[in-house]
Amino acid sequence: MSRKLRKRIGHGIQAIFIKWTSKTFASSSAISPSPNPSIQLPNELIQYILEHLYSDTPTLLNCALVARAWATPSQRGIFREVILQLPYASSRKKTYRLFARSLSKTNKMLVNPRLASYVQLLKLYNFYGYLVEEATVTFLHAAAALIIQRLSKARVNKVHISGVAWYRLRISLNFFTFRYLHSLSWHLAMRHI
Amino acid sequence: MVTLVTSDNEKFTADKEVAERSVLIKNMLEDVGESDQPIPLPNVSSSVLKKVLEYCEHHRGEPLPAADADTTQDDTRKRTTDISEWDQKFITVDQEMLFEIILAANYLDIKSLLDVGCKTVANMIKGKTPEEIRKLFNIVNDFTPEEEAQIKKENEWAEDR
Repeated sequence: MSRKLRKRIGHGIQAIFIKWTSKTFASSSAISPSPNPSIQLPNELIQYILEHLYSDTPTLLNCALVARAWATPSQRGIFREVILQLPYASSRKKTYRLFARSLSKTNKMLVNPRLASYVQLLKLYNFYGYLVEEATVTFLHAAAALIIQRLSKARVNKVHISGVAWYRLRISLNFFTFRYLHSLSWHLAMRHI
Repeated sequence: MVTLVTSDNEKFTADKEVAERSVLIKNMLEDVGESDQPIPLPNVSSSVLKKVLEYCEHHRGEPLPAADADTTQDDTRKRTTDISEWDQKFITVDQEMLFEIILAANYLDIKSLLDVGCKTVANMIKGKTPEEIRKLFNIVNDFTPEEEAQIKKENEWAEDR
């Protein structure tokens, strides 16, 4: 590498590796071993670019695997919104099973405090379906209450809840979470209180 | 008029109104007060400053974003990757120039130009594999296999949703 590098520097290529003001620049390697050297962007700008992709989860999933410096800003986008809703007018058992699995998966994800800290918004919509057994409704609400509990510890500050049986959630929430929820400027459809 | 001196020692003159679209230059002029002293820009080359001034000239008179507009972290501002027609034409340059413009916009603190550049790069990333992105940015994969597996596992949550 060193001979190649010297040759390149000899051609004045180093001129483009001007140290910009950013401190973060120093942490990324100044000269890449790639045969196609080009300008490196500092991490703060990589993060800014990724913020423009926050609505594009498939792309963020790829970005998270590019390099270490890309992982955190990508995951901040991936886990930014947790939206859980039952498809409307569904009575099929399979739909409920999939929804219950999705709630469990979210609960498992939120055990990781780092991932939980990335969540900015929680939306819980439409926990009622038709012709569903009492046990299923109880299970879904208990799982949702656990999600709220975990996210209240991560201080998520936007919670949207509608179409959820509030009294069923309330019995599963502890006092501190309950008080926390009341301190938020959250949107709650009060229909079912 | 304001005189700007680039890293390769070229002098540019621009209307104060145009140059002041750069918050850095605006602050410098305020600090210095009325003066004919040229402003040195040691981080910007002449070819890049020419482009930057072209941008500022086109957008002169447009309102500048408020100083604290971007500091509200919890603001779920909707980021789109739409770029106006003139800006799109303006930013159609080779990748090296694109990155230089982004770095210069960041250094000179011209938010709208920084956004145009970053949106353009975001559009280039869309739909690419991790390896393709590394090539595009000339990045070395510095993950250990364990770290990479861990990220994949964590991200499974978002995959079949």
